[in-house]
Amino acid sequence: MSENSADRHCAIALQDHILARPRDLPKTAKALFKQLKNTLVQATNNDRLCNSHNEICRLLRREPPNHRSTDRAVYELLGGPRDFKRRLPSDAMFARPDGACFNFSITVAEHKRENTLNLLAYNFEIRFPDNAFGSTHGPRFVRFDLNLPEHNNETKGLRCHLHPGHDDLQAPSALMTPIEILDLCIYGLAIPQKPRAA
Amino acid sequence: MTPRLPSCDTSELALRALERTLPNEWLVLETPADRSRTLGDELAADIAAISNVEATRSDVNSASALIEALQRPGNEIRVITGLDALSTSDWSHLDLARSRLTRDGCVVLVASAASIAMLYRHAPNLASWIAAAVLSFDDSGWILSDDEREQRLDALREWSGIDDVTVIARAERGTLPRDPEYAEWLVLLGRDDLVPQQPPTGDL
Repeated sequence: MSENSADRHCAIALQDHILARPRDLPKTAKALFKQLKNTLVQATNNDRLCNSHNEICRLLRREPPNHRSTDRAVYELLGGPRDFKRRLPSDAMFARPDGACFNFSITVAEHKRENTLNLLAYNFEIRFPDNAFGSTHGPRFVRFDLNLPEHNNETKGLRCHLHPGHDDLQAPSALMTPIEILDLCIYGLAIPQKPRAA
Repeated sequence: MTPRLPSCDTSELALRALERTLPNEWLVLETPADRSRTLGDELAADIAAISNVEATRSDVNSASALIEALQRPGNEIRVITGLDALSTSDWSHLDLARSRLTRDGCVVLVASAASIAMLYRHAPNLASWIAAAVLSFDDSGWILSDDEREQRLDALREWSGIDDVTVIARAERGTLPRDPEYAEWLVLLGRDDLVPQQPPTGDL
C-alpha cells in the first residue's frame, strides 16, 4: 500500500467511525423544527442569545418539499440569512452576548414508510468578533459541514468536517445532531476571558 | 366581511401565554374542530419545553366540567379543549356563573370557529374577558416568503457564479456538487426530487 493510499485508508476508517454514530433524531421535520425553535427560545430566556422572541420567529424558517412522493419528502430548515462574505452585522443572525453570531441550514428527508428522518446535509457557521482570541490572527469563524452522500470529499474521509477559521482548511468532525451543534453554537465555543499567550 | 383573525402556531401562542402573568388572563386559539385536542397537547408541551411554567390540558364536555376544570387549585396555565360539546344553554349558564371561572393563572381555550362564535353570542360578558385575544391557528408563518426565498437564491447564485437552469441541469446529469448549499438551492427551486437519495435506514 502506498503512503498516499494508506493515508486515505485511515481517513475513510475515521469517517466510517464518525458516520456510524447513532443519531437521536425526531421522526419528522416538523418535530425537528420545533426542537430548534424551542432551543433558541430557551437560550433567549436564559440570556444566552441577544435575539428577542420576535427575532427568532423572523430568522427561523422552513421550506417544505414541492414533491411529496409517498416515501420521501425533503425539507430545508433555515436559521438566519446566507452570508457567504461574512459581512452581515451580528444582529442580522443569531447573536450571543459575547459578540459571536451564527447561522445554519439543514436538509432532512422524511421517509414515510420507515417512519424515519434522515439528516442529508448541514452547514452551521459561527463567527467571532475581531480580536476575540487576543490577536488579529485568531480564527474569525468555525463552520461545521455535513455534505450530501457521495460528495467528492467522501473518498477523502471528509463528508462530515469542520473549517477551523479558513474555507480551504478542513478537518474531520464528529457527526452531531442539529440540536447538538446548535447547543455548541449557543453554549460552547466560548471566547476566552484571558486568551493564552501566543 | 368578517375581519381576519391574527394567526399563530402553538409555539408562538406558548410565548404569548407565558407573557400573561396577571391573574385571570384568557386567550383563545381557533383551530379546526378535529385538531383542537392535538393542538392543545402541543401547546402544553411547547409551554413546558421553553419554560418552567406548568401547563395542563383539560378536556371538557359541559359547563359544569369547565367550571370544575378552572376551579381546581393551581396557578399553572390551563389549556381547555372539548368545547364543541357545549350547547347554547351551557354558554349562557357560564356567562351567568362567570365569577366561578376566575383563577390566578392564564386560561387558553382551544376551540373551533363555531364554538368561539357561540361563546361570543351566548356568553358576551365572559367574551369581554377575552376581548380581542383570539388567534387563528396557522403554522405556515415559518415558511419562507417569496422575497426571502429570492434573497437566499441570489446569495447562492452570487456565491457559485452559476444560474438556476445550470443547477437543475447538473443535478439531472448527476454532476452537481454535493455540498449542502446545492441541496438548499434545489429545495428552494422546488426541485427537492433532485436532492440525492439516501438509504432510509438511518445510515448516512
